[in-house]
Amino acid sequence: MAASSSVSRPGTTGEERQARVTARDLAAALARDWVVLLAVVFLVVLVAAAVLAHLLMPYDPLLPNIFAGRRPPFSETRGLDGGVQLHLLGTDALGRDMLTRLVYGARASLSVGVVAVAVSAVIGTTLGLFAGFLGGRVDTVVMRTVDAFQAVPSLLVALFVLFIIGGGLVNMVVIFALVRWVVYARLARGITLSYRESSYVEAARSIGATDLRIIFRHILPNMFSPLLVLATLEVALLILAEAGLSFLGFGLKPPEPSWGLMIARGREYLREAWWMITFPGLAVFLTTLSLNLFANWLRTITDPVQRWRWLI
Amino acid sequence: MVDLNPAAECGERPSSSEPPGSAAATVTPPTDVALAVSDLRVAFESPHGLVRAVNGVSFSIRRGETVGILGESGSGKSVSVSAVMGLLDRPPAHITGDIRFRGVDLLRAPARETRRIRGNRISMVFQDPVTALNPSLTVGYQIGELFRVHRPGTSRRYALREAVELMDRVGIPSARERVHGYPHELSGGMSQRIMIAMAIALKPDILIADEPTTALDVTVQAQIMALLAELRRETGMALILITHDVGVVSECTERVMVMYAGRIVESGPTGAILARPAHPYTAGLMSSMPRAEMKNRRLVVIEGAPPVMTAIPPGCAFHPRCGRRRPLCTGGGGPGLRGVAEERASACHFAAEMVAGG
Amino acid sequence: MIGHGLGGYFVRRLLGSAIMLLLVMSAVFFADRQIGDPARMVLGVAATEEDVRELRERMGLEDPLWVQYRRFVLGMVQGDLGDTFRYGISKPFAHGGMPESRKTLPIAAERLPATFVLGGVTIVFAILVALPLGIYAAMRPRTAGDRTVNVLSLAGVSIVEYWFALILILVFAVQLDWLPTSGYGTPAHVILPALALSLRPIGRITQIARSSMLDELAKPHITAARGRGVPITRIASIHALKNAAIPIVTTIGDETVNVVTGVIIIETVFGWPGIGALTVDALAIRDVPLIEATIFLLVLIVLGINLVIDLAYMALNPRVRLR
Repeated sequence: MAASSSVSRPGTTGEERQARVTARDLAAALARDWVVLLAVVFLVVLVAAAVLAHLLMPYDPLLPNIFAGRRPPFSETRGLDGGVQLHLLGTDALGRDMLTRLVYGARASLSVGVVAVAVSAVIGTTLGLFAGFLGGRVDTVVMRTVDAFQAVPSLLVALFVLFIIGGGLVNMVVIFALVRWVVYARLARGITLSYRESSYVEAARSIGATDLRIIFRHILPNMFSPLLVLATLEVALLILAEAGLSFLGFGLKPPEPSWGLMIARGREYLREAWWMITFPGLAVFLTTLSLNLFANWLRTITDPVQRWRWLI
Repeated sequence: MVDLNPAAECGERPSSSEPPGSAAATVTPPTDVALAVSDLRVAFESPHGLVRAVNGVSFSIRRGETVGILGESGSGKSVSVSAVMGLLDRPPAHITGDIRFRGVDLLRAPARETRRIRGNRISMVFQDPVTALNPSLTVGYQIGELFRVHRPGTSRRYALREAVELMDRVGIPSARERVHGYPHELSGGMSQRIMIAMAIALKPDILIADEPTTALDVTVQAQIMALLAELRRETGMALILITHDVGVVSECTERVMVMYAGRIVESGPTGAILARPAHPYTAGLMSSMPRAEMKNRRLVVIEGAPPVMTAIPPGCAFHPRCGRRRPLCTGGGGPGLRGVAEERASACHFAAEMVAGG
Repeated sequence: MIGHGLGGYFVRRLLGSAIMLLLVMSAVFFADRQIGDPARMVLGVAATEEDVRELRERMGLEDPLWVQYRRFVLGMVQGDLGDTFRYGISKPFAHGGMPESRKTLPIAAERLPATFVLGGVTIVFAILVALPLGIYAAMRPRTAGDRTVNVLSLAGVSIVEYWFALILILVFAVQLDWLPTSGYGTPAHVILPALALSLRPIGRITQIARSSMLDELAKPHITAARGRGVPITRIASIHALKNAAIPIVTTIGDETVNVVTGVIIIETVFGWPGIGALTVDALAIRDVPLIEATIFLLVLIVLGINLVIDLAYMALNPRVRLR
């Protein structure tokens, strides 16, 4: 009797299953990790609140009410329109609702972080990709520039440049993008180098794929998850940097409701009004912590070596 | 008697005359058993369910004997000895059964106690010596550490002197200088000699060699096998040789256990088994080996691939690939390991037929 | 034993740092010329044109730009970055006379010991906390202890340092009155600022220690060592840590650099008389020569740290060392 080739081979499809992780696997892994789940929920709520701030928040973030200044959390005041206002997180020195200002502050912080990250990621990834793929002189020039940028702390550079050109939202985004592109360039170049010589890129080349096709179809997709992890970490970093620079007076300018500025203002009332400093700091903390938790989880789950352990 | 792979130099062929006993593989003559494993099962948690790597393996190792464990990669042979060595993290591994070394229950004894046995009474040589050596510690440190760990109070100088002596013994030239070198300065073969030096340092009762030559150059393989055989003769330790190479088994072992899908499918004296295998899988392994006297014949490959261990086929796990497959083979729990001749056992319904020459 | 190659590497590396310093300071020099007339800033809007011109003369601003630049570069080599006419001048400028001036570099250099004390205490404290935490977590992956360490270390990285500093002041200085709110001089003064500054390095070093130890502990040579009966504490502290040391040391270096930028804010919050607080003061009064001096020293420190880290990296890697 022939050991026929038509014999079914139980389980061999299991190997294919092993290689692919579906969205459902990810969701299941996320549901098991309640800390990260909480972080993701917080981020979703925060982004939604920031986007819809003008619809959600009943009070004006900028309009002062000097009769309602420095009220502790849960106090009620009479608004300028005569109505009663409830301040869950109290009011600031000028009588503005803390919660309202925090939500509007999320807009400033998140938009600085996200826009600067988007710009720097595009610039850095493109440069890193081409440096790694083309090699030679392009690579040398790009990587020398990266080295030079990385030799000096970016916060110091940002501080000095903002001192020269002045603060404000646009300037901050520009300067952050300008100092942070190097981290993406470095990552993109490293990944490109490791794939450039890989057998499947060789195979693609041998069947006549163009350079651009190789870059976009074969190399770029492999970069997606590490880039996403890095970008998430960078948003967190830039939110912290925004807070620091605004605190020193080189970032966003009053009366803009920025978390950093709110902490700076709260410092003056440290003894009298603890809520003025506590809540904006907590807002930054929870946001960056959530971003870091998510990035950390994303990294483990997309790392082929570690993934299986976390999918169990 | 077939003479497979004459290139392997294992010194004189070990005698295959065994003390008579029961035909079952689980036989355990009480006096000279060094290691007894019974009904060992190992499963690993994975995203796609439990991977059942070892499914009820029983065997015993007598003092001083050389036993081969033969099988393809994924057959559970390495996992079995890793369980013996306590190298599996629990979880993700789930281990049941019983592993006894001189009355010590290796699966349940406190870690402190089993640690004193590992590297000391039972030692192991790994497949890839280059990755099995710590790149940032000197060779001498790593050998000497054994004495310092298992013989508390050993001085640094004594440990280093012992290291040099051991390196001499396993044939490393200018050991006195190399003892201060780092692993990356050594070739693969030299690294494996260092691993062997560590394995014999404390004169263990059992040495487990897990594919000790697979990662090495062909020219070095025979030298390493010869070294192992020589050391075994000198020290009288038992040697468990894990391999997928029928030639190595034939040259170097007295007894062999063939594993497939986490089970022992055949066991017995090496010579007898290779002369007349009692399991189609053993026969398949043998016919896929190149041999001198069949120069003009085509090599036969075993059709198909070993099963994925999350989905082991019902019945005999080998049936999808088996040329002797009958309806009887495809269902139920599969044939157990049964005695077929003196000292021999097989897990095939047609074992008797095969031994009889059917 | 430092080989020939290492010496050559050191010289090349030193040269690179010098070029880097020159580049950065040149950028600072030209940027500083864009923010207005320094003489007018010193004298104020009420001063006459002649007075401003006279001060510009004394400040060397009447010379062509390339002459000024040459003087600036030569000054860096000689350790002279010009004079300040504003910072710490005891006799303020009275109309009709010219203000006094002081060399900027000594003013800035005076602040270094305070910064070194704060930065040193911070980093040493961070290492002492982070290494054991990271190793502990790596040896018990996925247990409750590991997850706790993981979340805590991420929290350390996520906190706004100066906000945490202010909360510390609120709790320990204002409410409990255990520690001074600000100042310098006694060990008690260093506790709060060092604590505030150390959170981020603690978090980062813990993370790296954990992940690089995890990577190391999964390697075959660790399995082999376990198979030889080497105790787990010895495996962690000698076998794994020695290989994990390179990423950890790199991170310690990065975090030391971060502490150098962190002191800019934290020194301001605690009134710590270091170079960070001086930098903020100089920026606030737009004192260009003093800004240049403080940035010069900060960049010098950062380049120095990077150099030390590179050398430590060479010393740790036997493959590099012996080549």
